[in-house]
Amino acid sequence: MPLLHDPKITPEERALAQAHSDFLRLKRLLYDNISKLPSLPVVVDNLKKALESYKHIGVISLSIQTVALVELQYGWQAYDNLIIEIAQQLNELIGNVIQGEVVLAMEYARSDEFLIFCLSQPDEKSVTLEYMEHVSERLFKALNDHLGQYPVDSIYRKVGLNGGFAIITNNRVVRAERLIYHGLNEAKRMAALYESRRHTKQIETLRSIIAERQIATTFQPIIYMADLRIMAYEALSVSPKEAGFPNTEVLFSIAQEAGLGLKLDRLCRENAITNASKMADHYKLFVNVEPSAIDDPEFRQAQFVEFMQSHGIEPSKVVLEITERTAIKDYDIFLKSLKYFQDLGFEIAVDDAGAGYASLNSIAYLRPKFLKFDHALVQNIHKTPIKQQLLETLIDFADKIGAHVIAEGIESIEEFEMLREMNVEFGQGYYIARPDFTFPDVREELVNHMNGSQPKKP
Amino acid sequence: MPKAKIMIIDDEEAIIEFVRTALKTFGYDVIWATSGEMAFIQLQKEKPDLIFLDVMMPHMNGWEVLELLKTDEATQSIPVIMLTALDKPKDRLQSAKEGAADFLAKPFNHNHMLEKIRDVLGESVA
Repeated sequence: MPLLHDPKITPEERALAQAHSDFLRLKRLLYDNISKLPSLPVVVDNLKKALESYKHIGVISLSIQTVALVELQYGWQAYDNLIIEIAQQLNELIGNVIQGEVVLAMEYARSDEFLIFCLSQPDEKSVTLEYMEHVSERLFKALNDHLGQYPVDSIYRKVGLNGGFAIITNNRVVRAERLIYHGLNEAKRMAALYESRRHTKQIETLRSIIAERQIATTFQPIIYMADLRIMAYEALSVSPKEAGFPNTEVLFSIAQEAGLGLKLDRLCRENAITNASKMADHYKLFVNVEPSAIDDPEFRQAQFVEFMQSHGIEPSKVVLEITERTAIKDYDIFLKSLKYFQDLGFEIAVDDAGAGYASLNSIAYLRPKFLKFDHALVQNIHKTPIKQQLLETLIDFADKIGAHVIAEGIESIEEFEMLREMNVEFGQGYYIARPDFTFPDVREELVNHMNGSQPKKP
Repeated sequence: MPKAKIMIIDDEEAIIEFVRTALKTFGYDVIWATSGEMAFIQLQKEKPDLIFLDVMMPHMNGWEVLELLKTDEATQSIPVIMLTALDKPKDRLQSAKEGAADFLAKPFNHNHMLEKIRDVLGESVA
């Protein structure tokens, strides 16, 4: 095949190509290709110059505070988007909220630590502590307000921003680079201190929530994608707004850390049952259960079933929704406990299936009646061929083990249509209906859309 | 409208030959390289509309080539379709993670390939 030999190249061309690939390798290590921001080493020279001319510069360290392993739950893609979003917001806020000279960077390429260096105040004055305090306060408020616009169950609402600031002062006898690194550490220490104070306060609040049973239950419908009939309601626990927890997952992860997980889980479950007694009889009820609770003796005692029955709810109506987010330590014991519930007539749903924590094999052993796929897979599925292929594989798998598929976190008409086309049986999400204290119906917009699209060509 | 220019990077000459003849039949302009290094030399001069990139190559493997393509401003917007030896979910995930537009499992035929091109470039094959 003479045609196939690579074209003739000169040694110079080869050397150039080698140099180019070497350059790209270095660039990859120094630039964050997600946020498109440089990493700290790239901007150090600028900072040095500013230190010399202004004597003081300020640094704000901003990190994404993740609870309950957000990246694991939503996937790296959603986390990447989050970082892109924050980088974009920061770029917009500069000039708007921060008016002096600013340099933006990431601590390392592909990290989630943003660094905002304030080189000067407006009018080229040196930065002061008051100025940094003022700027960082406005910055955090603006970012939090921005993220707060997203739906509660999106990744943007599952993260907290944590940060601190420091002033770096030029000193002739110390190397500027080290001054900069020390300043950065100081900003991080401030952030950590602030975070630990907030954490202690949160645990206190949580204890009082549990003691005073201040948990409410909302319900979100799970529908047949084909005709929008409601199949079930999922009970979703919410904490009082004043308590300041952004969502239930944050609440649970804090409870888990503080050893209050089981207590909170029980409270949520009992509330769900009490409130669900008003639900129409032919719907199923999905109740979230932490895997650790499956072994909870109080949960396993007959009194829980009695409690349910006293509220008019039979086990056969209840689907226990298990997330494998928290690792299951001993699968054999877990399966035995699970079988106890299955024998009583409870059905099992596995949440976040296919997100990668549990192998499909181990899911098969749980003999679930339902497999739920969420945000990570559903978000933008209409424009992501790889997600479509992945979902197809998972639907095949569900078929093989005799489980029904539920797509969660449907937020747009495009996602809804795509999933319906792919024969996903059940759906749930903001586009269908938001969770509510009463038992909400399917949103009118969707009903109208379906009615409108019905008379299409046969 | 002139058809797209497509680049194939694969160390197996038989695959290149197959892709080249198949795509030429359908009017595509085809360029190729038998290694990542050769590809970067070619890319100094040529700007393809789409790249097929083999994962299993000696020296610089497909994932590394992909990362560097995505690091270079001149090439980062060119969609890349990874050619994987087996249809492994792990490869699919990594394709997406490192910014590939899609992937194609070997062995593949004309139709598979044309379908992917159409999907990625959003053009009609006919």
